[in-house]
Amino acid sequence: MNKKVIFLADMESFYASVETARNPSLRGKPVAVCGDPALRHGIILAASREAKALGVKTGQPAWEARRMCPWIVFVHPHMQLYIDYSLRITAIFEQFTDRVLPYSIDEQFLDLSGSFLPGGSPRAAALLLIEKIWSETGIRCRIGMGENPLQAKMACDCFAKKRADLFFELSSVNYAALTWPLPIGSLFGVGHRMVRNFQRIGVRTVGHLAALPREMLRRRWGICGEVLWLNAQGIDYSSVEPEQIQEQKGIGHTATLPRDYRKQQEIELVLLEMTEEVCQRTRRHQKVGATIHLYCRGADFDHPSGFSRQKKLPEATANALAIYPTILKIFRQHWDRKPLRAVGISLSGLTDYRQLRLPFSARDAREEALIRVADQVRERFGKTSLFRASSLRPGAQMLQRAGKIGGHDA
Amino acid sequence: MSKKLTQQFACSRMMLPEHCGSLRQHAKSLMRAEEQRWPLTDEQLQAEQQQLLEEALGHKLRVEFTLLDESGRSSLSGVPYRLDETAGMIYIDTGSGKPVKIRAASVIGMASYS
Repeated sequence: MNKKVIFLADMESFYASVETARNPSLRGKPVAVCGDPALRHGIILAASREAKALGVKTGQPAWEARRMCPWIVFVHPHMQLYIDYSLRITAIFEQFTDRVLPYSIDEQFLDLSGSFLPGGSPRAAALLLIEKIWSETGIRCRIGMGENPLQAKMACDCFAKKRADLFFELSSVNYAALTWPLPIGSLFGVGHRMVRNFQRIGVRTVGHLAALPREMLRRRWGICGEVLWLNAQGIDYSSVEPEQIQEQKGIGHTATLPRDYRKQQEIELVLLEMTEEVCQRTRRHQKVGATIHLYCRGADFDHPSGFSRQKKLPEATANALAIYPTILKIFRQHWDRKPLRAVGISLSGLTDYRQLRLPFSARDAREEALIRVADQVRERFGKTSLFRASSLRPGAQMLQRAGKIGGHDA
Repeated sequence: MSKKLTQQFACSRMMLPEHCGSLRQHAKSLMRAEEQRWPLTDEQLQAEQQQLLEEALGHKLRVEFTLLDESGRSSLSGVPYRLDETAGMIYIDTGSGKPVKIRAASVIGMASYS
């Protein structure tokens, strides 16, 4: 059987590269994309190669980056532009294969198994892709190749990024030899917490994890432990199916607040606005949700607090006023009255709106008609054309966040 | 098998809703373009379809036509009863009482109804 040819293409310093491609006068300069420090978005979202060479890192506060590199050029994010570039890159990949799966805004999986490989080999095809992306968008692309998406991701993250030709191939033959000596944190799926957990049981490298019995990991960490064990072996059952993008399991919204929120009234106001926004988006997809999930993160980094809870709704809905009482109930039950830094709400267990049209009362019908009209007004005239008067009260976020993407300027 | 085991990347994908929306739009436009694309047919297939049309005309057989025009793909089933080669039109009795005429050039596929 022919081996699969899976690529993971990763765009170098994507946001900063797009800004440089758009404004060539930035080329060769240390560039960092960061939000507004006044609104607590002053962290580096992306740093150019030149900035990284001077020690600037993604996630670092802007003031710290300025101290390390006083001549650094800060650029505000343009999220819609990044989405447009990402789509342009997807379209380029689609000239090579119809199996393209964007994994994030700057990473995309490609399945070239059985496809015509320009250049005659996977390596030649990858180098051609890298060249094409560079010449058509001005963005440096790194490609990891494997027999499955996991191997491709590991090849890209652990090797291709460090190579001059920006390409690296892992396979079942060389996976163990090359990845097992790596620190355990390099393995895909192992975050900071898991690194600590593994270190407690003496697992310091990918190879150490691979040597543990699969059953033990399953017993200790359930399915997640088993997946990590498989990752350590280079085994992955994922496929690159473009239609996966069509599946939507839940619709959610998380926001970092512009300051620490202490007052219950202010937090509950933001929760109402977010419930409205999540419900509007759910209705736009012609869906209703059966489970609501509330997430709150405390403001103190040194003493992490907050909670994450979900609750099944009495009936699937996308009506904010039907969901909000449940949100309030969860919030009042679990909030420890410590200041909050971020909140998130999501609606899952989505089903088609039309499937659920049970007979409803005259009041329900009126409410539904009102919601529909309000949605149409917002669709036509923008989010801020019609909103609750409470959004004018102190602490409200809706007006500030309208028109932004991912909390940053569109 | 758990979804985490079979689709770990689908479970961990980090996508902005606006990006997902744009991708869906992109997928739809690709699908529309694909539907509008004229299919490649070889000479053998063309000869087979010509024969099927002649048989249907001669024996009053019901045929399913696949059509492609500016509005996209559509299908129509009926009994072809006349072929106007000069005007390039096929006249079809769809059973609705009112005959329908279609441009022969818009036919991209034919299948016998049996």
